[in-house]
Amino acid sequence: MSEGSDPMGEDPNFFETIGAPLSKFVIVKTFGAAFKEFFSRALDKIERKEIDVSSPTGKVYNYVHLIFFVLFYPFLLLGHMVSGFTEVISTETLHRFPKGRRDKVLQDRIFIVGMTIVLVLILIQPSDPSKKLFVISFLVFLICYYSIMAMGLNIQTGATGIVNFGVIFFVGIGMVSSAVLSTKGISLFGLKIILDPISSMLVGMVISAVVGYLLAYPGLRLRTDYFAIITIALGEFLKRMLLAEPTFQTDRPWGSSIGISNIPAPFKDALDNNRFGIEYDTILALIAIIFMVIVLVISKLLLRSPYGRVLRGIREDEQVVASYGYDVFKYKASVLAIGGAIFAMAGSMWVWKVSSIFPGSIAVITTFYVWAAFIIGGKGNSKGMILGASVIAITQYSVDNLSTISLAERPKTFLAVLDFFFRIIAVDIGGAIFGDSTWQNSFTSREDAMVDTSFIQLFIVGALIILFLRYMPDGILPELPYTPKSESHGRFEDEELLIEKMRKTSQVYTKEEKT
Amino acid sequence: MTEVALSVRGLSKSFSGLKAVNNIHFDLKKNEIMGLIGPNGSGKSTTFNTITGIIPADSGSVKVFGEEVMGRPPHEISSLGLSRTFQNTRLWRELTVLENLMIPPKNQFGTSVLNALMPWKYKKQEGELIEKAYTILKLLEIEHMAENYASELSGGQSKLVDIGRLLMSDAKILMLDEPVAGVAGPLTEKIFQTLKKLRKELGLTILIIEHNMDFILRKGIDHIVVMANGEEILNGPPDIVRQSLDVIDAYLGE
Repeated sequence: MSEGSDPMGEDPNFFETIGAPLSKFVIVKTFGAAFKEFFSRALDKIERKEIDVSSPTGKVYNYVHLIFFVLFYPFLLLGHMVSGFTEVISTETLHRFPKGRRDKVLQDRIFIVGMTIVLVLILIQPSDPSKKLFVISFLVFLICYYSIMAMGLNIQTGATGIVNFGVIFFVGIGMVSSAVLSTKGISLFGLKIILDPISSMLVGMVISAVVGYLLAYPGLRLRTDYFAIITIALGEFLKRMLLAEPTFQTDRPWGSSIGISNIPAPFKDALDNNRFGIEYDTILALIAIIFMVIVLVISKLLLRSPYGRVLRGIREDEQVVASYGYDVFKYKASVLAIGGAIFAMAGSMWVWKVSSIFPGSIAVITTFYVWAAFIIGGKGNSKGMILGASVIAITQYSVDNLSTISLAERPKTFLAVLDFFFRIIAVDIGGAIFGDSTWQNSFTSREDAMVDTSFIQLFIVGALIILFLRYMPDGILPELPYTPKSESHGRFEDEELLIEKMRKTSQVYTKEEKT
Repeated sequence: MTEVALSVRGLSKSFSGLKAVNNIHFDLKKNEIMGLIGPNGSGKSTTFNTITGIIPADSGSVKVFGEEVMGRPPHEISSLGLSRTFQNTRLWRELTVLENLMIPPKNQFGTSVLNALMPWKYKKQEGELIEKAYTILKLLEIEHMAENYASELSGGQSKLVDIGRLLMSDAKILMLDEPVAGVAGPLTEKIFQTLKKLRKELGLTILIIEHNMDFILRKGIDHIVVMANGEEILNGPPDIVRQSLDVIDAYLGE
């Protein structure tokens, strides 16, 4: 596990020697075989039309498809889990990882354990059996949606230190561009241009990136906090603008701003009518996963490169970065553009999912959910964003589920407990203090008083933000330090060699400069 | 006549009536080590800040290798081959020591967005820079701290990392603002020897602010400018400064 220096290595425990490799072997083999079996059989039977895809058997195969395609990755890594759990829980962790959660190996394990818990939470969400696949793909989509936005925010705020409260503004640009370009189209030089969904998304990303870059000119001359205030206003600004936008209104004279509906999504027509026994939601979840992986790879590459290093320097002290010859303004503007493009991508995905857009879609609260995911996940860590986004997405979905519980069912669920406390704290005590009623009137039972579940979501997210800022300000996975290995470690003994080295490198640079 | 690396003419800066720097003139010849000394509040650091563009000067002219830089932003001035340290050691605190040393080098391929997405393009250069960084860390005797965060360093170690950043920057003019305050004696000696050697071998030009006058007179510096209350009161080789030391002592009241 760790290299030779581990003093505990003399007395290895079961998991290190036999347990981890064995469990990995067994789990990978078992799941691999099961995967192969199910996959080939299902395809055979569907091809020979032995399975009616709408029948219960067909649905089972649907789940299997989903689990092995969409969620195959976590299962393959389950082998790490046994050793991962012991590592996270054991008291030797601190000894083995002196850098704590800033150790890469430990972070990988926390990530795998975390994603497995997320997976379990996705699978156990209560739902009507016929809607199970829909629920799973919706949750997977939601997690990817928030992850992409959180990764965009991570590049801007986590790495560069630009405080951006205008996530929804850029997301909104993506939504609007995608919606308008793929339905009504725009007129350019007398030509009506209507694009396919993917191209609309790309155009939306370019527009959002350009807007982000231009925003740097008025915005970045301000101090950090004033820039944050500007960005809060932008989202609301876009929403108000859409309310008056003719494109968003019906053709009828009395039409108010109702938005655009029936927005096409990629591959939706090709896969319509459940042709392969796969719902479009599943495909969209897959597309979302692909997009999320692309954004993850790009953001990791950016943040691990010298470019990302300069960004982190700007976060810590931009004046010093400038005094080493870097144009801080350009770097910040480029970051606003990159983040804008990523946000716009998430916006387009949302439009594909709900296939409609109206001014109310630009919900400013989304920005704060993304911020919550960013804080929970750990600033500066792209993988952490996925964990943070999962926490937010699952919270959001579970609470939305609560609010759909019927009044007859309500007393049987744990909502009854919340209602009980709500009656005492808010209605009785609150009523006595802030209301007009007398004390005697106040403390009579009010069976009709109920908690509005839509606020529970805000309450949980707010509590999570406070708890994390108080007890784990770095988030679940903090930023990793940069620890490359040096080949020369100990080879250059004195300044003679240093001078030689410096002369060589400066020659290299001047040569590169000329060519 | 040797080439002038840094030429300052009539540099002035006042903060709401207080003349922090008043009409400073000096020439820093190429391949020379110059000391800028004076008591607290005499305007040494403000001179540095106005030369490097961190604070815009009121009037005067600053030429770096013959090029006028007054009114230009700090990064443009720095790209002409001039790097500086700050008096209150401003490291990038949430970055490791190694990362602190890896930002300053100029002409890194990986600092543009497109190249950042193609690691193979900057990998070789990155390897060379890491070697160089470790060599400098070894020289400054803080190699063991390479993977620690800069915020975990002591005051003296921070100063050393700051000097390390300067050496990494491939600059032709190094401006050091109290480089050895808080650094242990023998290491100070070593740093000065290295700076002198680098100056000789690589043709560097060095400008040092130092608080302690006796100290700087012993280090074999070519040229000294003495400042007090924003004014330049003496400008010459150490011998002359030493001769008029009595006058200075009287002036400083030491």
